[in-house]
This record gives sequence, C-alpha cells and structure tokens, in this order.
Amino acid sequence: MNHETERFQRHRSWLRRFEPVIHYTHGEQFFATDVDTYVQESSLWVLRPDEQPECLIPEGKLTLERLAKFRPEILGAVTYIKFIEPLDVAALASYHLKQMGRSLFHKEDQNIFRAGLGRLARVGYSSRFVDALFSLSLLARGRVPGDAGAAAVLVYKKMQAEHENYCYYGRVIHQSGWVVLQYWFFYVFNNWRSGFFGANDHESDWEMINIYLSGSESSELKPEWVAYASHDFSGDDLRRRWDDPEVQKVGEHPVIYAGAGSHASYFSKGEYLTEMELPFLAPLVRLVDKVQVILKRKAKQGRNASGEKGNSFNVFRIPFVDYARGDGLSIGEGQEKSWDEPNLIEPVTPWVKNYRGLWGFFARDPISGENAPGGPRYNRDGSVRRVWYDPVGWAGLDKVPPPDRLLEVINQHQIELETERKSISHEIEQKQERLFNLGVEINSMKERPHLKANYQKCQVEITTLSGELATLRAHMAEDEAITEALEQYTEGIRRGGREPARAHIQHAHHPETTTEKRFGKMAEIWAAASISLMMIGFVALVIFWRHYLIFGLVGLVSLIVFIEAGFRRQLSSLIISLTTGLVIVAALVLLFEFFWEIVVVAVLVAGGYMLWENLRELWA
Amino acid sequence: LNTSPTYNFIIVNMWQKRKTRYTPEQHRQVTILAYLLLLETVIMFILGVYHFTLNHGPQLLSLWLSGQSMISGQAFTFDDFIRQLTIYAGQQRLIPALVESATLFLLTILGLSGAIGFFRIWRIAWTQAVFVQGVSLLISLILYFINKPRHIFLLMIYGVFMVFYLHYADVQAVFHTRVQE
Repeated sequence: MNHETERFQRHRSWLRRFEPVIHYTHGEQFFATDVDTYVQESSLWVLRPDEQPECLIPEGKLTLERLAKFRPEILGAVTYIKFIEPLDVAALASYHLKQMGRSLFHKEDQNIFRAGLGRLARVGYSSRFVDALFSLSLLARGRVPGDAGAAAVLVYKKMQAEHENYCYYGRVIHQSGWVVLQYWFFYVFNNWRSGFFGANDHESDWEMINIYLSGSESSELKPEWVAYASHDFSGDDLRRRWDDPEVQKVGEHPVIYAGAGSHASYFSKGEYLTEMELPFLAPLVRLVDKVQVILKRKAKQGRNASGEKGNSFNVFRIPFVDYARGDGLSIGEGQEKSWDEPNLIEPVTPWVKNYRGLWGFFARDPISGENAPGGPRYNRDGSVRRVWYDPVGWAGLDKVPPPDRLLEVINQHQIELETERKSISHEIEQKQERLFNLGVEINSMKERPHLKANYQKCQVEITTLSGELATLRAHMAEDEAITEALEQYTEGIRRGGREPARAHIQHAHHPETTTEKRFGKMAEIWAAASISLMMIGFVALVIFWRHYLIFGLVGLVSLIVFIEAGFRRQLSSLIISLTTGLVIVAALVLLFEFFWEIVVVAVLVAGGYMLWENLRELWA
Repeated sequence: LNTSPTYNFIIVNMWQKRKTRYTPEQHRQVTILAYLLLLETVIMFILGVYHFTLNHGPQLLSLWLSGQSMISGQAFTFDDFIRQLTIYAGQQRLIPALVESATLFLLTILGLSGAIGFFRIWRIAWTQAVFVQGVSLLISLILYFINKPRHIFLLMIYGVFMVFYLHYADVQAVFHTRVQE
C-alpha cells in the first residue's frame, strides 16, 4: 500500500468515525443523496446574454465525467444543470389529490407536514407588510415553477426506489494546526417555499458542516469544535465547542437538526425564526439594525445570562420559520437509516474542481434566492467558497490555537513581550536622561533674556519628549498587565481550567420558546387577516367617509394595533409607549404656549434650589 | 370578627409580608400618588359635569325624561327624540361634546379604581394610572387643536407631571414594572 492510498484510507476512517447524525422533520421529502444519479437524470444548459438557453448535453447523456469537462464560455454566460421537466396537468393534479388524501386520512404519515403556529402570528405588523411585498415580488422575479417541487418529489422517489442511498461527501484539510473534517450533503431539491412556507425553492442544495480536531496525521485526534452552516450566521457564531451541552452527540457523532425543505443545519431541535432581506430595503435594514444596537447599548439589554445576544428582529426583513423539529427520518449511527461509505472529494475530484456552473435550474432571480447553488467548491458566481479554502477562518477559529499548541503559543508570546519590554525600558532610560538634561538646561536659562529663543525651543522639546515618555510608560504598563494576565492564564490552563464553552458566541440562534409560540388559533387567524382587513378598511374609508379620512385612518390603525397588542400580550407596553408619545407632544404644546412662564419658573426653581443647598452647607 | 388563631396568623403574616416587601420611602411615594390620582379624579369629574352642562346635557336629559320635543314642545316618540337629537346635535356639535364628557366620566371611574389600586397596591393599578393619563392627555390635545379652552392646560400639566411621577424608580419598583438591576 503506497503512502497516498494509506492517507486516503486514514481520512476515510476519520470521516467515518465522526460522521454526523441528521434528524429531519416530519414531512421532509428530500434526504442527503449522491450526485451521480442526479446528474444522470439531468441535462446541462447554458444561458448566454441576450440569447435563449441552449442545451449542451441532453438528459440521459450527462455524466460526472462530462460535467467535469472544461467549456469556455463568453462573459456573462451562466452554465446550469436542469433536473426537473414540468409535470403535465394530469400528473400534477394526481399528485396534489394524493397529497390531500394523505393529509386528510393518514394524519400520522411521515410525509405530511403540519406547520402549527403560522409564522405571521409570530411577528409584528411591519414585517407582515414587508412579507406581502415579498410575495408580490415573486410575480415579477424569476422563480422556480410551482410544480417543480411536486415533480422533484416524484423523480427523487423513483431514484430512491431504484437505488436507495444516503450519503455524504467529505474532505480532510490541515490548516493552522487544525485537522478539519468537512462533510458535504447534497439534496436534489430545496422545497422550503412550496413545502414549508419558507423563502425559496431551488433545484439542488449543498449543505455542510466542519469538525475541527486537534492532533496530527500521526498522533491521536481529539474533536475540539464543530461548525454548522446556517442561513445568516458567520464567524464565531457558527461554531460550538465539542463539550458545549448544545452539541448533541451519539457516541462521537454530532447531531444535526436539518431545517424542513431548507436543509439548514441546527444544533438544537425546534422552530427557528429566520429573516431574509430584500435588496431594495437594505438601507432601511441597516438603519434599523444600527438604531437597535444603540438602543440596546443604552438600555444595557439584549444579552442573556450567558452573555449572548438573543434573537432580535428587524421589521424590514421578512420573517420565515425554519422547522428543524427532528421528528422525521434520521440518518447515521444507530438510526433508522445508515450512511453509505464516505465519498472523498480530496484530492479535489474533477467534477468538484472543474464544474463552476449552477447545480440546478437558473431561475434568473435577481436576488438569487430561487437560483440553484454552485457546487461545494464554488459560489454561484464561480468564485471559490471561503469555507473551501479557509475552513478555519470561516468559523472564526483562526485566532484560536489548537489545544496541543496553546502553551507553546503563550510561551512564545511571553518571550516576545519580554523582548519588547526590554527594548521599551531601554528607550525610556534614554529619553528620561535626555529629559533630565533639558530640565536642567531650561532652569538655567530662566533668568537669561538673551536665551529666549533657546528657552522656547527647549520648552517645545520638553513637552514632546514628556509626551513620548508618558506613552512609552503606558505601553510598558500595558505589556506588564498582559504578561501578568498571560501568566495567570497559563497557570489556569496547567491546572486544567478552560474558558466557558460559549464565551465566543455573540448572536446565538435559538429555537423559539413555548412562550413565544403561545398565540392561540384566533391570534393566528387575526395575523393572517389583519393586513388585508386594514387595506379593505382603507378602501371603505376612501369610498364612504372621505371627509373623515384622517380621523378614520387613525381610528382604524389604532383599533388594529390595540387588538394586535392584546393578542401578543403587549397591551401594557403599548399603553406606556403611546402615553410617552402623548407626554412629549403635550410638553411641546406647553412649551410653545407658555415658553417665557416656563423659563421664569425654571430660573426661579433653580435659583431657589441653589440658595437652599448653599444655606444648608453654611448651617452645617 | 373571626378571631381564630389561623385567621390571625394569616392576617399578621400577610401584613408583615406587605410591610417587608417595600421600603417606607417607596410606600410614601405610592401613597402620595394615590392621593394625586384621587385629586385628578375629582378634577375630571368636575370637568365632565362642566362639559355636560355647557352642551345642554341637563336640558336634553330632562327632555328625554319628560318626553317633550325641544323644538315644537309637543309630545313625541323615542324615534322622534332620536331624530330631533340628531338634528340638534348637528347644529350644536353636541355629539363630540357628549363623547368628551362621557370619556371624562369614564376616566373618573378608572382613575378612582386606579387610586384604590394604589392604596391597595394592585399590580394592574400602575398600568391603569398610565392609561388614564394617556387618555386625559389625548383629550387635552384634541381640545387644544379644536378650540383651546384654558382649563385643558391644567389637565395637560397635571398629566405630564403624573406620567413622570409614575415612572419614578421607587414607584415602578413597587409595581414590578421595572426589572431590578
């Protein structure tokens, strides 16, 4: 067995050892599968600017080898795979009838999804209004046809019936002292929108997780961190320490809860409120984000007991629920279905390396939500994904040394600091000597008018030098404090102590709690109907009571806002906010009407108070 | 009077709990606010009566009770009364004025129960008091933009002062409306 084969076998065994367990949600239709069958069922297309799409390789002729072949294309051309051919009306009707029948008569069927509390009942009015805009925008944007999800289900079922498989693609990367196990999961379709009231549908879906191990090729490996790719999160927030209670494990296998339809990965089961952003509302989103940050800083709010910031929602983002309930099919160690042998894509296999196009239908959606993703190595635009070339930096681990190198790194840093302190100390001595000389010089010149110019020059030099000396001493004090902290840190590590597992997390994405999901059926109906009712009310006002439009609108909006606040149990905060607003207006009115009287009273009160304070001090 | 040991134990225990839950200063602030709310209630009642009288409320009431038409002086049915009331209301801008006095009477009742709540330290009383101030400020502002009667400035000043006082940390602490830092 040569060295390469041995290495290959070793990597395969590592991937096998830590391969995750995935729990899907009741109603999920697509599971992690292989790309070979998908490609065989698909055709390859190219869309060049100002041209009709051209089929490069028809269905049945496409293979991974042919996909990997390099094809020069003009600038602006998009190469994509097309998996689904639209269903005819009869097939579509038959599919939907079967679904309806199952939903009505087989309530425990694994394939039937029940949403529970609607997402609109969980968010406020502005978000509902922005959501209505988003739904309307789907009519203007390119999107995956409505029957594509149904057709994909049928084709995927056929594929699984012929060759049932549950597999992942893996690679092992060595970076900055870490050994990274990267697992890629391929799904033939993302039906989050059509199947689970989510944001988008698209053909094919690539999801990924990383496991970070300390050790080396020759020594024993130890899992330290794990990071799951999830919608909007990046950097430190993506990763969890292996001993974090949030990371559930089956033996050495981390557990993933996959979002229904979206297949996004979560550490805990539950329903996650996620937000999408419309590009034209981006400036407003940024503005509201900034205001929220300022308000939270002022109110010292937003962090829970563990110091993490909770879920905070921006009214200009569209809320969607990602259902990661984990009550459906499970794949992995000791589960209903097992993983096939790992497919290694390292060294980079030709189809991963050479195919830079989309892995599914190009819907021409300008905000890309409905366009298929690129492959594991590439983004939609053909550039290399960060997680591919920098998996350590992607999860914010580039500043964390592996545990086996930690003491060495600290020691090295302490030596550097010591060297720096010596150099600063030497510099301080020199400058101090010069400052003494200047001090003596300036004192001697004080009563010599003919040395006025030298005196002034000396004064400037003393000020500059004194400032430099103060800066150096401050630097020296900082270095000493850091050295001291490093010594204590080293001592703590030697005693076996570790910093809290979640200290690095800024924004943790938690599933919604039962308190957040407490709204009743009435509240859900209200949430679904309120925006439409407001619009109907507005039209009625315009037609029948135009003279009272302003009063009517104020009344209508107030009524709806009060009902909503009642449902959300926020009536008290609404009353307080409104009263505060009225106080501000009333204060302005009073200021406008009685400006001089208020000034006189304020001056008198201030004068009286000062007098009282002074007299009290005098008597005391 | 129930003088059983159990009853006495419960009463003494409740009283001690109540006494130990708040500082004397907090209690003093709440009591002052309760009296201020009572005073506001009286002012609102007087204003309500004033508006009712100003807008021919007693005459209309006596008309309704005696069954006399205001315009012709003839006996009429309830439907006639409503019709004539509507005509009269249109002429005299009666409806807004009646709504205004009715709101003031309603606020009087709410303010009174709020004041009792402050004496008894009911948790809802704080929100109720804020609500009363909100509605009273709203009425004042509406009246200010319609016909600026001088007395609404008193209501406005009183409302602004009360809202500030209600947000005083000691008062909020008693009603648990502020999270303890």
